[in-house]
Amino acid sequence: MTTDRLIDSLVHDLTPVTPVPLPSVRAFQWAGRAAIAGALAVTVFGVRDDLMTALAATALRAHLALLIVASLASAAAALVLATPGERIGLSVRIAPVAAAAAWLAWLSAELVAAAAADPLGAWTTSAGWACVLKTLAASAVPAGILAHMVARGEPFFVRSTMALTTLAATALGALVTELTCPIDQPLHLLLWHAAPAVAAPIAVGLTGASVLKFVRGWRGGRAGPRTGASD
Amino acid sequence: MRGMTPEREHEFALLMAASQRGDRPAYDALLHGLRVVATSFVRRRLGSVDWAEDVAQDVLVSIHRARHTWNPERPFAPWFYAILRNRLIDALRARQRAASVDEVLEAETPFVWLASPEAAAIAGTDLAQALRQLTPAQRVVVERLKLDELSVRQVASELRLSEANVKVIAHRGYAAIRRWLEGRGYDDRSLD
Repeated sequence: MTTDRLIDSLVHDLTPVTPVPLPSVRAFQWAGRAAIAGALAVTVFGVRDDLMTALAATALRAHLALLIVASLASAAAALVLATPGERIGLSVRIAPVAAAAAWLAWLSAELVAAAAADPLGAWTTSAGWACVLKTLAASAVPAGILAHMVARGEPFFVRSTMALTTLAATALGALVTELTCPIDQPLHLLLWHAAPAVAAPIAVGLTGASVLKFVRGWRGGRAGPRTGASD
Repeated sequence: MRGMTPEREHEFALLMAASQRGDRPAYDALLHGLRVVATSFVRRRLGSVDWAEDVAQDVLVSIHRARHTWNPERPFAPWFYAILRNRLIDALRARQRAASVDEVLEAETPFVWLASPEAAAIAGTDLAQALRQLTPAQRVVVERLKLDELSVRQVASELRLSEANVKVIAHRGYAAIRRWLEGRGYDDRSLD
């Protein structure tokens, strides 16, 4: 097809569109919806009985703060990456990873401290598949909403964008789990709360283009995958 | 110099804003203007490559699909050049990936001599027979690529296959044709 014919075809197909809001605005929109979804998930799963006591301790407050930062920073970064021409500074990419890494580091430090106090007990924990399911279930709706918003854009760094989209959701899911699971053992938190929250974004990142294609197909809109393998 | 001066960027921004409202004449002017900028951008960086126009087409399609992602509160040039740069990178990567396969295809394709009408006339019957030896998928892909002169991308789109898949099928088809023709006395010289 010649370029002139292509242009004629594109002009013929032109329909009015509403410009997407700026990424910062969309990040706030997502945060609002994700907060509602998270609150509903906490309600469904049931708040841990000792929440007020646990919140009095620094550890849980730190976990929650780091998870909130990781979630919001990831969502903002994903939306920036999905918008052509937006400035993609190093901080945009680093902030979410740094917040998630800080959470993992905090949990690891707790584990080391627990191991120092109780060498045997610190390394023992029961299976926590329910926590994995809670984390993933609580992540599903926020992930879907954010993926929908990202898919409306034009992400060039598809893997990073989809990994950050997932991290935004799983960080929120982990936060929900921390508010509903009464087990504070560091090993439990690392294995059954943190691991799925980190593994899911990595898995999605590795299959970024396919996931984006799926989301776009699900949205029923834009035909054809954007190549965008510039990761 | 066909780059984007501030005045030109302003003009493009106005055209894009009108296009977002569904103004077709504005969109037509915008796409024609951006086509020139895109091909010029590619040629400034890579010299007179024959696929600059392909990149320009990719850019125009991307702009069409992503036209809602430009926010009129933002400058136009960074948005446009982000798309242009990424489509160019995609094109370069695709060509790098395809380079080895393309070299093989060029070396293997027996269709090169179809450029010579005499050779084509002589070998036409055998070639038609060779085509019939292919699997249906190979035959369709080879015919679309070499007889209809469509690009790999166009064939992939038409047949709903990935471009890599089309290249693999074509590669196998060419190899099968070559084997069949060689079995009937054609040698490398006659095939090239």
